Amino acid sequence: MIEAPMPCADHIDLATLSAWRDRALTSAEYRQLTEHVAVCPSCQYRLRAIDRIGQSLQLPDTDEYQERIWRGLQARMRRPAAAHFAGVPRLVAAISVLVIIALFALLAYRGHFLQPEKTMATATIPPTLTPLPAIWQSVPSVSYAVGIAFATNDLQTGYVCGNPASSAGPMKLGVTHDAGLTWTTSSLTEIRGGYCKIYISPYDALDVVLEGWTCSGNCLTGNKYMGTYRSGDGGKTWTQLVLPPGNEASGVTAIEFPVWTPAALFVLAEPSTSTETISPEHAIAVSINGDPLTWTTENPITPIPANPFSIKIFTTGNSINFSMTQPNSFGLTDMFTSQDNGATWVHSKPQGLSPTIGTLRTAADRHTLVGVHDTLQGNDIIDQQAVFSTDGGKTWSASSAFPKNSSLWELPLVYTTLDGSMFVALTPFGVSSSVQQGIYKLAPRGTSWVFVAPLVGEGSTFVAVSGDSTGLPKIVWEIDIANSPPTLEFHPIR
Amino acid sequence: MFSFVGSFFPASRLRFPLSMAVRQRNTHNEATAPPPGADAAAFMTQSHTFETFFRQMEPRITTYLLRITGENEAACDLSQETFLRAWQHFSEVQRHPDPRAWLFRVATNLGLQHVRRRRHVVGSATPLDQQHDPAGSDPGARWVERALIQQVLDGLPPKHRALLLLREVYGFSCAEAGELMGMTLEATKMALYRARLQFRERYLSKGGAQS
Repeated sequence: MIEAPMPCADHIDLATLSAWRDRALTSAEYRQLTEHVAVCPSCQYRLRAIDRIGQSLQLPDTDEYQERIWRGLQARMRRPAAAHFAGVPRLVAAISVLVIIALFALLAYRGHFLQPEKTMATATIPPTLTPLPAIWQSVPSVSYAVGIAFATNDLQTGYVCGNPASSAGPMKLGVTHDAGLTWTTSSLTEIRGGYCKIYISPYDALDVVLEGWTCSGNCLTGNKYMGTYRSGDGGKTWTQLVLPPGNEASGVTAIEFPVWTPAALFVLAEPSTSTETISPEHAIAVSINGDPLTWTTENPITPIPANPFSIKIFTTGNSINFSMTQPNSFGLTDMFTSQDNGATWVHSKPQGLSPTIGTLRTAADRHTLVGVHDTLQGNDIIDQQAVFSTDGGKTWSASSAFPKNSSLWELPLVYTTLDGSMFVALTPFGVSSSVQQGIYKLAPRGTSWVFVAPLVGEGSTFVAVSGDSTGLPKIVWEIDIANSPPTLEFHPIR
Repeated sequence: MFSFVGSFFPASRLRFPLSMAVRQRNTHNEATAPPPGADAAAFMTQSHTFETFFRQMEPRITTYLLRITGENEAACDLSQETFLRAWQHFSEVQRHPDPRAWLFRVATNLGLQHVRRRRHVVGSATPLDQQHDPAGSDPGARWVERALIQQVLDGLPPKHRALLLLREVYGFSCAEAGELMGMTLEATKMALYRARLQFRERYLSKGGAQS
């Protein structure tokens, strides 16, 4: 059964929730239940259970039988119609022929037969056929972008942001709902900056947050914080997210849409660099149901030494986690976990092969954590491997190793999709490496990383994956920062 | 060699003319010869367009049939039969507002027919082998418990199995999946609910993870 540990106050049954998920209710019922689901932990729990059924059924299509099927099909396509009767007993065949002749005669008599066949010369290809060559291609209309994201629950909806002038002027936004085939661009008069970051709700591809910064250098890092804005309608209208008093002058360094509810949004504020300690107090704010941000706790926990530039928030299960790396350390060393929207926190130290903090991601299954662990010899990285945690980050273990003598590229390094695929951008590690720089994929249940596409050039950054309506990844996207302004490039993958 | 990734573009986004499809088709060494008496040029043009269509859609249809039948051989045979029918009605398929739905309708009918005719019992309680023991497997390999999922699917009534796959995997709406199966919206809604419930119960009873 799909039962939640807590009862639903309105006694919504599973059949109704199932119909809501299928959008098979009336508009009024759908609206009413949507409002209820946003605040009902029981319904959210049961919907997650239904979601997991859909996720578990995802399976990459296989083309391993294609040549065999095509060869058999070709033979049958060439076969004249009469050949279909081969092997049928003669008497049955003779009777069938007589019946068919009689039927044809009847149809011809009634004028429904022997009309000229329609020519194929003017036919257009079926709408689902849109072949793309397997090479990198740029998208000129949005080749100002320095930020890109595709929704994990809808790989066809994505956003890019940036500013061709690399200035503090109005930000430009590009939106696609067809996996990147077409983009609609607009100028956001109230949101300014040249550098930006985009975050999309895992529940609603139209719920999106945009951070604006002035540019530093090549505009791939932010300089001065220009504000954070949220849109619930796919970028048409925006509302500013203002940090509460206490640390309101700081910028926002990260946004986290929690995986257990569509109602909340967590914001990680820029910590002060004048102190060597840091705690969640005045660092993490939360917005519930679109209300203004409030600090998650007024009760500071014992501060610990931390590298202020190596902090991260992530959610999994029903926990918000504040993770950090201590000074002179690469990996995740400390975590504060809260299961009450940040009111109280529990400190823990991850065990096992903890990942480099910048690589840590919650996978699209909303449960598994993935990352990359560095093996160090002194201060030198001598090996890297993919690691996973299925207990909210408490313990970490290795999975398939990266190709030997390879290293990760910078910035968004790991990308997971709804079918469980994981993508990384790798570059040769060491002078004797034979690894080809490019994008590698670890398929669901896969045991080795497979090269899927080269990178555009030196300094390119792999940033996103779009796909089909079933959640299968089909295209990788990267921003080529060697060009000015940077060009947005895409590459189809199998 | 070109890779065709167009299946995720919705019907309304069509912009490539026939000539481009022919230019960019996935070329194949074995040219299809026309049947005796056919117009060779027209046949070649049409068969090239059809090959493009086949190469794009085949993986999806074969995988779908694999999950409906649970048998590799049957899935290949039924996939070939589905595309033969598409070839025989290709002008109709091309005019169809959603050729994908046309294919899935045929594949669903063939798959369900096959399952109904099959004599042996499916979905019996085959013990899971060691590699599917969640506790003993690689965390990365645990993401999709394919064999377990297929066992659970095999245990569902065929119509429920097809509905669940069409809705959850292939992105058909509740109404579209119902129409494809010849069911009313109300019946589809209820069948989907029951399918999910049965799937979840069987999955857990066979040792699937709670979360």
